[in-house]
Amino acid sequence: MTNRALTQKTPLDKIRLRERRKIKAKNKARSFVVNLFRYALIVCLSYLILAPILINISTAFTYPQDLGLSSSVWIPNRFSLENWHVAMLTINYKEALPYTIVQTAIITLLQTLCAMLAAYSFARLKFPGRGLLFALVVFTIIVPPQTFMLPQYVYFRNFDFLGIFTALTGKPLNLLGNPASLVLINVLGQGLKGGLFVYIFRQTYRGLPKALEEAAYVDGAGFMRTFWGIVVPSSSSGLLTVLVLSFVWNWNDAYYIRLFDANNTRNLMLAYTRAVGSVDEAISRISTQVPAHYAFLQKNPIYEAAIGKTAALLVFLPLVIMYLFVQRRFVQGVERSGIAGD
Amino acid sequence: MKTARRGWYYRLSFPKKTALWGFIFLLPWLLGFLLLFLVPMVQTFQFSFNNLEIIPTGGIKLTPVGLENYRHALLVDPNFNPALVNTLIEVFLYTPLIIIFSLLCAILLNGKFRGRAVARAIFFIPIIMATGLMMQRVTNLSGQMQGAAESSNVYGAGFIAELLFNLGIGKQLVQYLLDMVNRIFEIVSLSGIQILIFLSALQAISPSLYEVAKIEGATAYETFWKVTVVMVSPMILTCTIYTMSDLFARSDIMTLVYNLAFRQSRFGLSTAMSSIYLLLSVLSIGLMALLIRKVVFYYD
Repeated sequence: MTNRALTQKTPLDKIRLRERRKIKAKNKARSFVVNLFRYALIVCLSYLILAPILINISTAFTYPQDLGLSSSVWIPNRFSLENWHVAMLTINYKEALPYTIVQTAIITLLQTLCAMLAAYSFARLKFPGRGLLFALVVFTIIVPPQTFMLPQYVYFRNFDFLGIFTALTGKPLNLLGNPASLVLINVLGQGLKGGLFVYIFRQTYRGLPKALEEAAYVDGAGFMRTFWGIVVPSSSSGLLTVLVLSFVWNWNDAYYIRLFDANNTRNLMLAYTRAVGSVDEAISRISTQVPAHYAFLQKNPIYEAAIGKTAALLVFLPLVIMYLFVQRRFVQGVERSGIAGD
Repeated sequence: MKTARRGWYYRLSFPKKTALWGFIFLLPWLLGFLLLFLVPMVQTFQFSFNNLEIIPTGGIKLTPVGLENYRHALLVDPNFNPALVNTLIEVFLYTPLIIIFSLLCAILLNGKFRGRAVARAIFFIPIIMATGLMMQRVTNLSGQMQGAAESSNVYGAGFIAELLFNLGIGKQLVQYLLDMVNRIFEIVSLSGIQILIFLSALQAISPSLYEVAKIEGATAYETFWKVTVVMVSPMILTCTIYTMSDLFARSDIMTLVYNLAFRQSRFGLSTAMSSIYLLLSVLSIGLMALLIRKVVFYYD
């Protein structure tokens, strides 16, 4: 009897229920609108990002004689691999690709190593003057590195460390055109965006629980062992973020290599900037390898633009492949790496 | 007895050891900072007051010329001043746009929704094309070759432009709109890292803050301005500094300076321009940082 009285709905309850349903429906409608808005924006922005890439791909696959036809913008009338072939020759792709991969990988590793060590020092190892030195790291991020191009050029042109080389050979060493200059600038942490990597690592390390390292010290591990055995493995997502960024930025950069090693023919980005600077020249340089019936396409701006676009895709391709592999972990890692930590 | 045999290191206190290792860990960077940053910076200023010659056999020769290089850069050279002004306008115009855009993108990507993984993968593509090299090819080159109006053809904007033009809207207005389209494009390609930083910051906001706001009856609008923006504000400072330094580093001035030095061998003039530019960029960024610092909220 009492049970029944409890479950029985009074008119007041009914009104409440109706109100609640109304609110629920309202919320649902609102979240639907929000979602719709969100999807619309995402689709638009994705289009903004993807359109240039897609149109470049489509151009690259177009049969050379169809280039510029209004009927073959998004989907080529006739598919062909000719553009790829010519573009590969203009930037010396077959030789440049493996060389650039190795070169960029070495630079990335050296740069990351130096940034890691410095950042751990800034994050955890207290020593006098630390705050001031970190302010200098931020300063190196702010200053455009290109403003030092001439002194750095002169430095590597007449390289000497504490007068050793002058004492040995009678004159300073010329490190221009030598991979050692790039190795040196990166292992000393002054390569492309070196300061930023120190900053990212510092944020990551500061976000780690201190107890881990303290436990290691109490158990008698040294500083090196604690760093490599505890700190590095537990900050792997930050490490991945920096590795990816460093690789990508160094891959896309032609400034340092152009400054220190201007005659390098095997660096992809350098070859690309050179070829794109005058596609005309680049094509005529390899004219013996281009099929004879395309001769009329030479000096044709539309054809040259297409070759340039295809070359850009070729340069970009290894990064895309790498991105496909690391994309998932990279995106997740960014969230956990605590770049935006305290 | 035993400790004496084990050497001085073992007799150090733990804080001293920490300081020692801190110094060792920092050593490569410190060396690089001194040799490849501080010394070149001082030299840039030093060279700018001299006429510099690079001797083919090695070594350099400096002849003092006083302020002549600065005079030439600011009063004689026809390209430097316009490039400088352009750069400043670009930096101060793009920075707020990039910050707002990337914050918006981060908020879009932050919530849970279907297809989030795909959306994120796409939004991070600009990071891969960090220097926007591909982008430049699409916008600039085709622009030079087929007339500026068609440069936006990538987005099919050319069609709209034609339509507007035919409707009798002034050519200048249409051109302005097209420029805007190209701007959006550049902004997208420059905001990769910023989106990433903001996304990371959004993830770090404690959900309890949103719960409190909800219980107190805040609307979504209020929650956005009084929780999200405030909590993310330290990262607005970080992103602004990064964006500005990035924009300053990719300015046309750098090409100008490079060509002066390595094509025309006018080293003194080139370093004078570098010095002016260095001071200008550090000053602008420092000023901006101070301004933003005043409104940033630190949650401690």
